[in-house]
Amino acid sequence: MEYCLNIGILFCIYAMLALSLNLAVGLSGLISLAHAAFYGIGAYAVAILMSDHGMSFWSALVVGMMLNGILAFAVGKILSKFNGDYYAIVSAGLSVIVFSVLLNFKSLTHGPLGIYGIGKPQIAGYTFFSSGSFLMLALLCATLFYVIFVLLDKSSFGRTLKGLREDEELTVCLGYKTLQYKSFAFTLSAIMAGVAGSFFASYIAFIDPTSFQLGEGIFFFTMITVGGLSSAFGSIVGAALLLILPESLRFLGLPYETAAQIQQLIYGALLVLMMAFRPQGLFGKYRM
Amino acid sequence: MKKLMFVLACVLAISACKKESKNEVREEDKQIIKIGAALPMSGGNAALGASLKAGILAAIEDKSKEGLKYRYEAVFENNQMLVGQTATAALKLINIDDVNMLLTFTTGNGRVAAKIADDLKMLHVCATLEDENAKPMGMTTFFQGPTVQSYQKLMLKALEKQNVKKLALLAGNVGVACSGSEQLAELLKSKGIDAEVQCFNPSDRDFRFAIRNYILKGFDNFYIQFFPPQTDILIRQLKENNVAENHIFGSGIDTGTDVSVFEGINHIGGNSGTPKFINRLMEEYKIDNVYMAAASYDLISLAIDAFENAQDVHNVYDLVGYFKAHATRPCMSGECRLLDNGFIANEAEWRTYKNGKPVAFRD
Repeated sequence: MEYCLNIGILFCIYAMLALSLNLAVGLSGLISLAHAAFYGIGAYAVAILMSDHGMSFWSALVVGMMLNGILAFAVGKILSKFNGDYYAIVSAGLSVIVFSVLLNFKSLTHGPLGIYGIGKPQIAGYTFFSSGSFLMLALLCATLFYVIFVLLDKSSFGRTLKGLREDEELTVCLGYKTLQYKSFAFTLSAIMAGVAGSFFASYIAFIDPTSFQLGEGIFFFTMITVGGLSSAFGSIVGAALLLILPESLRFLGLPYETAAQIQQLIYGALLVLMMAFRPQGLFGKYRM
Repeated sequence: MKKLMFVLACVLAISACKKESKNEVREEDKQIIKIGAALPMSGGNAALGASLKAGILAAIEDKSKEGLKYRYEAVFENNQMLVGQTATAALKLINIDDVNMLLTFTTGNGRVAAKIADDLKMLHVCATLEDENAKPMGMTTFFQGPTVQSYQKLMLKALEKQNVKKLALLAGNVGVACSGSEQLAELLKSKGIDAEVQCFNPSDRDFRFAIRNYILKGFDNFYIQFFPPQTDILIRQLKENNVAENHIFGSGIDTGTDVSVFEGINHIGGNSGTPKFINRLMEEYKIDNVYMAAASYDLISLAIDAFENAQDVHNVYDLVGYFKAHATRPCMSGECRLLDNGFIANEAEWRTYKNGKPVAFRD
């Protein structure tokens, strides 16, 4: 039961991440590889403030959101000068910088030793200690993110984002200040990724920089590419697939000597096949 | 009369044998105790996972020869050495495979599993290198390995013996490698040895500039504390700069599969056990290295003893109580000593390679 609850909680966290990233990539066409950084900042904000400064989860979460918001707004200004592949490369650079800071700013982040003993959220004296209650909270937050995504997608703001995704010059000609739109979408997306990181830190109760490397950012990117760009439902399906697929391979009953390697091979092959036959993802509305 | 006595003796002997076999439980009828291990079994750290796995299997094999009450089986899951994967792998082992205890590797993964073990009241052990002053590990968790301090003590002795006056320490920002090297440098400075530390990121591959810089500053001895592939790269790049093998020192560096690169280098290894144990594991389990295998062997041997002596194998406090009472003992890793924080500290050991094979010897 605990195992299933664990998968459920991780699914909610990944769904939050996928929705946040799809807001930037799918809806706005901003190919961001920086989300592992925002995810990490959210996680570290909660870990440091709760473990080292005794703050509550919610206060730490808000601080993490603010930090991510400020950083994303500032970085978004720089990133908005780039497009397409260049945007991806510069955003990947941000991810590398944040990882290096998490690893080397030891007096604050404890470096490679990580931070443990991170507490659980509390509301009116009730602590979300059990996995079941934590799942409910994470599910509520993931649902909220889903609603935000759908509302944005259907709003005039969302339509403008899609417009600048398809043809930025044309959108500018129509009188829209696209830089502001891009900046807002990126900042909101980063704040949402930070919230997912806060939930991850609180749930696992231990974090170290290895969970927030560039590779993680690529993994999140794979989730939305497989599920489908610009689709809220696709984000959910992508998160579920990329979580459940490797987990289900644990049950193949392969010999121990080769099980791990074969699992990785099957996982990789399935992703290749999916992209070969369905490049826009399962529920994608937009193809890069 | 003689014939009658002979027949009687035979009847008695047969009945005695029958009685004994009646009491003896067949191996397949014994209750199974499952040992779950979440280990790195793919990627760059797979060699470490294979080594720990061999230690677990060897412990079960050896203990089973003693005629045990229960039958022991090991179940393995890959955690890719990632904390998120460790939580999932540990919970899968507990809930789906129904294991009776857990084993993990390295402090970060151990801390994640320790919380799960505490919540689910399960015995958990972890093989790792740790600072002896580390915070407690958990109510139902025991870590085992050499301490950072024992590494330092042994290294200092070797450096003094070789009359080293200047030492450049090259460490990775991985686990306790960097902080341990910094502590060692402080210790060396207090003993009059000129020591400088430089820590590198885990993704770094080119150390030539740092090496040249140290050589220009007059450093002729180098100390490495990193993981593969960086250890291999560092040694090759030191040799490129004409640093001789006997001027290269290290701690816990030979954890990869290509051990030929470590030939002639003096370093402190992690829980390799006796030479006989090393050879046995390498031949019987077809592994290239035995890093930390003695720790997993010791921990599982102790756990099996705890299960055998427990009133109720499902009562974690029975098992924890046994660990607390018996963890301080002579073990495969040398002398094991239980500290107040739940860390079973064992001796650090010198390791070297002769003809491509590791040789461990204790101070």
